[in-house]
Amino acid sequence: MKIDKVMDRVTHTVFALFLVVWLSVAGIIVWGTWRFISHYGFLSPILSSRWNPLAGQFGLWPFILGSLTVTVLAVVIAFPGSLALSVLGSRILQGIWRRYFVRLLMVFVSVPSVLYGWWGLIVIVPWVRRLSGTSGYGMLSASVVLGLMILPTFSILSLEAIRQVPESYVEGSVGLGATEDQTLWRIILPAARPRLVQAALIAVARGLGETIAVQMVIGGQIGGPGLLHPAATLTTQLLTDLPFLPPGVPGHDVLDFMAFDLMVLMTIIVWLQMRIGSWRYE
Amino acid sequence: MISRRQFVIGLMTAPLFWWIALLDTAPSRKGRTRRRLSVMGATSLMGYVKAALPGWEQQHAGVRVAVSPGGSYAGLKGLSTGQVDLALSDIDPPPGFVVVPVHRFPLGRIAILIIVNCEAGVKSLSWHQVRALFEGTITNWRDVGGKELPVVVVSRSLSSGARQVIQDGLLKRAELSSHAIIQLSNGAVAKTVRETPGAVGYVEAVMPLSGVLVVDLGAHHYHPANPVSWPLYAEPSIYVRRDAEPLAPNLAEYLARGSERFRFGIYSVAREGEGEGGRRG
Repeated sequence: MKIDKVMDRVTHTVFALFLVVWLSVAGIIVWGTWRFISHYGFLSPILSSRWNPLAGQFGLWPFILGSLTVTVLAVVIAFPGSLALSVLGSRILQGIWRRYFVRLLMVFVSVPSVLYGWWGLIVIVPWVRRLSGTSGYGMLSASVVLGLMILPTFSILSLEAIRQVPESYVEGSVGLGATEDQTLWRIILPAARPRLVQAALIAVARGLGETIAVQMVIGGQIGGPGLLHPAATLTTQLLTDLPFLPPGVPGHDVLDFMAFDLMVLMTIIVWLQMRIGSWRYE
Repeated sequence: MISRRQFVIGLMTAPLFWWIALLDTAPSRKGRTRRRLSVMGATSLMGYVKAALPGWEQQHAGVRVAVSPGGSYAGLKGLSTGQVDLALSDIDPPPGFVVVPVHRFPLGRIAILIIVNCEAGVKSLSWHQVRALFEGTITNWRDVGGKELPVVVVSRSLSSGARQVIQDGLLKRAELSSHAIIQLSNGAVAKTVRETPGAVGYVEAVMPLSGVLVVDLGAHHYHPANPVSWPLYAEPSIYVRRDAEPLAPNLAEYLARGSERFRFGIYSVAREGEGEGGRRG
């Protein structure tokens, strides 16, 4: 009983500590953001395309567009494969095969992102170069690398989503004479849809926040039109310009503002996830 | 539900947590013997500093030196705020950037080389041609006597000292091509140029270069054994606060005089009125 009380206090204390640390991190970002927007405004940096920190131009639109494009494209690339793998793991493989299949996916989830970036550099960039005749660095390469990186996470979450569908739905469908394919497309996937969308949103959040793997293959430039030219995202530009704009330097606040924009995007995703989590299959 | 008391305990624990975390980076107090030094700055100098440090640490038993890259700007700002003891920089600090009095210990020069992919088919370029290539006004190698191949410009980020030399010494006020690939290190630039047909870039000569072609610049030919006449170079220095305790300038002087510098592409040029040791900043 005494141990329970101690553990209770420890866990609550840790939670309070976490809250304080999180608030202090968020506070630093919000304070920097406030300083930035009080000088440059809120909307005009977001909508502007001119990025030249030396000249005091802080247009973030190319990075926001880069982040959204790379992430959405990565999810589009990863979605069919993830769905196939999740159906394989939840409906086709049985017993030990299923267990090892899930373990294998877990191994791929735990591969550090720098290895995906490295693999992108030696496989995807030359491949895109050969196909397009460009340098190979750009949003397409970044999306493919990111798509393959989020695929295992997306697959495991989708697999769990499909496994959550009550077996009685499947038995009812088969009992009424539906084939396995019909049951999959008309019963299982629609029933799992809210959780599948949640899985996609988690994959989007992972994609938006990814930095190093994307940085290695995207080219790091700001004005490239199209998917085949060098581009940059919010996170890669943060990484690139942090050494140039360390804390205490005029212009550092724009990095806080970029981090704030990322936080807002993530918050929207979490909110959507919570909303979708309350959906029910009718 | 979290109680008020538990929340207060958490609040009280947080500063302790931060104090422990920041203990390592706290500036030294005058008069107190310090057994730990921190060095931060230009990534191009990291190879040399890491190679030279064991020799100095042997002479100063018990003193540990932590080295971290981060770029010249971060190093100089860290020195200003007292977070690091030595800043490595291959740029001149912009006016007002370092707000404390510092000593400057010049290391010498590092040549900045123009490298091209082997398929480009050129061995020599004029200043004007190199400028036009980096600006993006020449977009095919055939225009400079090379093969029929599109030009791909590879550059470093704004925080790089090499980028600043190229910007000031070569491009002047012109802007770099908007299609340039930006890489974060010398190694990444060299790798990209090596593997991308038609690529052109620039690197600091701090590492062996293979699989790329170092082009002649006008009448200048780069030779590693005699880099003095090469016209594009950075002048890296070590900066130490004037109020630093003796260990910091001692280390800076050791690094500034190190015989291993040449192995890492750093060479000395004797100047009138300036010795090899620390010049007072």
